[in-house]
Amino acid sequence: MNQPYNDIIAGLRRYDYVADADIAGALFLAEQLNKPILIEGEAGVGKTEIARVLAKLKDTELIRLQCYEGLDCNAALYEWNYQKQIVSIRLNELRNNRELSIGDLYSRDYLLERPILKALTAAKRAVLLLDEIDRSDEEFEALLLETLAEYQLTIPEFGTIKAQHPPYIVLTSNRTRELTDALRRRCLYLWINYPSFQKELEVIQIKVPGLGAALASQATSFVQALRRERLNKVPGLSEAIDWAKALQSTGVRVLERADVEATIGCLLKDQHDIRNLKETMVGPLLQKGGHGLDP
Amino acid sequence: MGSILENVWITTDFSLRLCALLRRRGVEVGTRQVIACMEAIRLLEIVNEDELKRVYRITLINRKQDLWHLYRAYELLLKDYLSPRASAEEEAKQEARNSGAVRKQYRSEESSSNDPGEESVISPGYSTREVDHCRDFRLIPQEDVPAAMAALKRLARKHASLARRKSKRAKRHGHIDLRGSCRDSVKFDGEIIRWRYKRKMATRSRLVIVSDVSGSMEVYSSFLLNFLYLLNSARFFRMATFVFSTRLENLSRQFRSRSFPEMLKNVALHFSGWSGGTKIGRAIQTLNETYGPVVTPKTTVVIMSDGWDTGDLELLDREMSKLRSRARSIVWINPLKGAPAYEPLAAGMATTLPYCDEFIAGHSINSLAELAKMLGG
Repeated sequence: MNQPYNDIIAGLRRYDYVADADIAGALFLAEQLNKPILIEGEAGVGKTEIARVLAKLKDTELIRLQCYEGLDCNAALYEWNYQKQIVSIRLNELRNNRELSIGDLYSRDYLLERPILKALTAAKRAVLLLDEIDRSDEEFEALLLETLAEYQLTIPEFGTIKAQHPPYIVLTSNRTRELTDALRRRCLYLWINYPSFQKELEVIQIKVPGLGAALASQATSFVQALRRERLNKVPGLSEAIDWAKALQSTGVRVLERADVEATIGCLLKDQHDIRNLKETMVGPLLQKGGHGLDP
Repeated sequence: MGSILENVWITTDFSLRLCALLRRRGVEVGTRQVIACMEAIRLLEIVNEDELKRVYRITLINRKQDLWHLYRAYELLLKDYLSPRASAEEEAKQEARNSGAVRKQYRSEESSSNDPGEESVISPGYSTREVDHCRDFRLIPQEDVPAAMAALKRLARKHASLARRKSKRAKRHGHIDLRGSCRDSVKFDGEIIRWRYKRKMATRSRLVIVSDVSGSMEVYSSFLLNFLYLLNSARFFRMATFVFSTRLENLSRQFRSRSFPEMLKNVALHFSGWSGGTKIGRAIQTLNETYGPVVTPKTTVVIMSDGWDTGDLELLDREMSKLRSRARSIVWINPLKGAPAYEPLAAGMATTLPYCDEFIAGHSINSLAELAKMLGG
């Protein structure tokens, strides 16, 4: 594997993030080619976490914009500080001086920075996370195109602000709707799958160090087997970590049927799934993992 | 393998050909993406296949569904490099197997319109459907189209009542928009002369259409394609369009093409399962698993099928119940219901009926009015 990849993987590992070559490759290319990364994948596989860890790795600020329906320019890009403008006009009147011009009113002082503008004007390369971009409206994507392609922002009354230190931009999507081609074309693409056994085990051992090696491996194989079952809501990596934490805090030593049933709420979030699991799946799944203890 | 890819020039040539091949297969690869790919290759001085593939994955592809096309194209091209002669045939075969059959049909239709015998020689059992559709479309009385569009518009307006977070400027009623009023006052020296109002916008409904294009639905396929095209081109809904026979495919982008012939071409290129068997259960399963997030509690799912299922009924039952629990409502449009003596006895139909909120006929473009009435409530 390439040296730069190894460096990134080792770097991320320092901040407790287990990355594979795909993730390292995407981060490396994003930095070198100055392009945003669009990350898609199932829920709970660590999409958002990448941005968080990247910010730590680069020792910089993480600027996060949670997208939602109805998100607009005023909340995401910039807004004029109208109150301040009005107060300035009044003060100017009272003092009776004629120093204040229209140009002054539409200057940097009166501009409120929202996340995207903040990321562009940061003194250091920041990490800009546009989380769950699929939840915003399609029209909102168009607002982003200039920033994503050119790392700049045009404000009609003010002019164009170009980033001195282009931020690392990370977009995540859960695919609740198809993103437009225009947005996709401007980004590098990274698809994250559910983790392999090795990766998941490593993550659980890092995140829940107190869990014994045997139990960690047992829990991991249980989760891996569970993902192959027909479920309404398949547990992600984050659920697996929660579950491992629950197992640790309840003082489990060896995974048994009762322990699984008591803590299953951390892993499965659907009533139908839980009922199914309790009725038919626990025994076989424990066996499948090679640790059949209580059929 | 290594000796081939070591040479940067060969890699460049290979990559460009790959892009061309991907484009031919309907994957949109922009120039910007190609440039990014080249820069990445130069930067990483790639020497092995895995890394090359990884770079392609990151730079050239921008949706998960296209990964498969990338791998296919890559392998095909690699064969081409290793044995140039064999590959040309292979590609032809592959094309024929995939969507190429349709394209070939197109070409043969164009080039040999004076030789009617040739059609059946090229691919027996395969009709020149897409061309037929064009004709059908022309045959449909033009006066029907505005009526259908009007029905759709009515449907959309009535149905577009989902409350939304976004608000819109209103003239006289609604809430006072303090921020907007403040903003307006700047031009009057900070004096608020007129209040500005806003009110919540209604959003377009989310619609997921799942259309059966198997053999038994063949007679209605003209209606289906017209219907889907009208629905997509009108942009009244935020919608995703899927078609299935034995497998399910997301053709949302293809149906959104600019013109009807262009849409036919794109659809034909992307889906090769026309007139296959019907596996509704498996199709709904794919919808639930692969495209799960598309269906939200705000989504109305419209399934168009005659319910003749050749697949596993238990699976169908399970998947329908899963879909029902996640969607806002399920509407089933069955072309057979138009027949006066029809009863939903087909095994698939009987299984799914309990999960459907509405069950309506859909045998002509006029049945849109019924759909409008039903959805509009």
